[in-house]
Amino acid sequence: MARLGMLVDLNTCIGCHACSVACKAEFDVPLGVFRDTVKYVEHGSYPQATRHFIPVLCNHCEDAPCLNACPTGAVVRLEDGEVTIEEGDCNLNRACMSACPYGAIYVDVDKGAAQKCTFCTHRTAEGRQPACVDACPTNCRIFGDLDDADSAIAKKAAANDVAVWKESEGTRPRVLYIDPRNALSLIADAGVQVDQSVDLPGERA
Amino acid sequence: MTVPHPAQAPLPEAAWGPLLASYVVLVGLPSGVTLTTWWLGRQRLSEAAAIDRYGAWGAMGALALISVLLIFDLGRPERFYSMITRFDNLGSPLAVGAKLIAAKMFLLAVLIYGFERGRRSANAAEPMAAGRKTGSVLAWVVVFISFALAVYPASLLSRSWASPLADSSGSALIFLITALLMGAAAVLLTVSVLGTVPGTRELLHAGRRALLLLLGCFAVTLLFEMLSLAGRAPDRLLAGEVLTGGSAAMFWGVVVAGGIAVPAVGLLFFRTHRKAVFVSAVAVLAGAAATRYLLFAVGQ
Ligand code: SF4
Ligand code: SF4
Ligand code: SF4
Repeated sequence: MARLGMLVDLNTCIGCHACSVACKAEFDVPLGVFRDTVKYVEHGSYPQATRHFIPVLCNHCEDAPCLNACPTGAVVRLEDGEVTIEEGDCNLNRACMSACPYGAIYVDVDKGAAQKCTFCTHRTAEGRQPACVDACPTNCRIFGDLDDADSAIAKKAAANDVAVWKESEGTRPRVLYIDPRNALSLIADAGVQVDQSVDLPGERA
Repeated sequence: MTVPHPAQAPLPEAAWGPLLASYVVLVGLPSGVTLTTWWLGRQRLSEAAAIDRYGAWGAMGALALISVLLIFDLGRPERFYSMITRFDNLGSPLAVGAKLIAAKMFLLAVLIYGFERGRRSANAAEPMAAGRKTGSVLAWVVVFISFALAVYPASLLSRSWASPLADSSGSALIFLITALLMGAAAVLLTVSVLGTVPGTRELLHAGRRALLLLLGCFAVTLLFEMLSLAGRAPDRLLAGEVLTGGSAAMFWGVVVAGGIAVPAVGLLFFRTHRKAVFVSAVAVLAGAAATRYLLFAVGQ
């Protein structure tokens, strides 16, 4: 039994959104909701102003509030630790969304169910990488077994200081970050979903 | 130093909207009606049997209403059904609450059947005596379920990042007292409207005393809730939102003035005026409902 996780190296993320786009395409994610987004955060002031790119997704938490909150048992943990939603069992009560401190879950109106990142179980079952990992041009996302000392992810995690998003929530995320400039602290109040209420109105294709 | 807001907002909008807010507000009503009528029915009033019967019908009606709200919120009736029939996660307050609602509706239906049969039967004394023990046990079970449903919103909302006030020390007690207030006010309201039913005077008297006692407990609980929020910085932000911020008008106007001061004056000084009792009961209902809404919404 593996302990699957993802490591994101913020040193090399260039904020290109290839991961978000690949994920959207892989799952036909509806407009306005996301399994993976990249936060752009500006910090400091001239002449020391800087911009951070922070990819965010479901953390497949070891202690997952979404899983504990779901009244129908639709949120499940798979053998290798991925937290997924059984579409047929979801009755759309949104308890998982109210409990997840990362805003990682959204309502898919067409499917009539809550949805989120699955760590691409359908791809990894075939030995492939998650779509977002495959798409990343700088290889800043590494996916694998955190418990396998020989895996690339375990080696890189051991060789670097790693951080998690919103550590104070006590959820013990399996998505780890190499974050030398403490960028994660800048998105402590944010979530995966994007507030589009300030977007300018326009025609949707 | 900036103090982080106690409610993070990881979603652009809270996952639970107005329908769930109405549910949280109204789910106290059937519990309050059951607990109030159960208490009144044991005060040796002349109309004790009728009070139990009306109480069961009233609680059933209110439960039917909130079930409809839940069905609308979930979108389809079978989704509500799955909430009752799935036992995969009894660690979820929503799962437990839905099953308690279903159990209470079933038990109320049995009790109502007994009440109505007893009333219609020409020889009512015999079957009622035979079933009295069962009825009494069922009534106790219904009372315990009602108590559980009165406090359960605190547990439900404390698991949500969107309702940080429901995670406070006084939340469960406030949910319980507001449920009792709603129940007592609904009974007084009904009695004041139906003025001509037998036993009105003693019912009004007992109901008024109960409501005054509850209002006193409510005021003290609110006071200590606010004091408990004065400690940590994130809690002070919540208290600020209630006392001087965006929710201040609702808190001071509807909860304190409307929900406590107005009915206290009405029930203390105009005790024989049925209109004053009516207005007081409506004010209590509004104040209790607003309090429950604030526990749901403050910090979002
Ligand atoms: S990030 Fe949210 S959705 Fe993902 S496992 Fe943790 S609580 Fe659940
Ligand atoms: S692992 Fe798959 S589902 Fe999760 S963010 Fe990446 S592409 Fe999307
Ligand atoms: S694809 Fe890679 S580099 Fe581009 S935004 Fe995503 S994580 Fe960053």
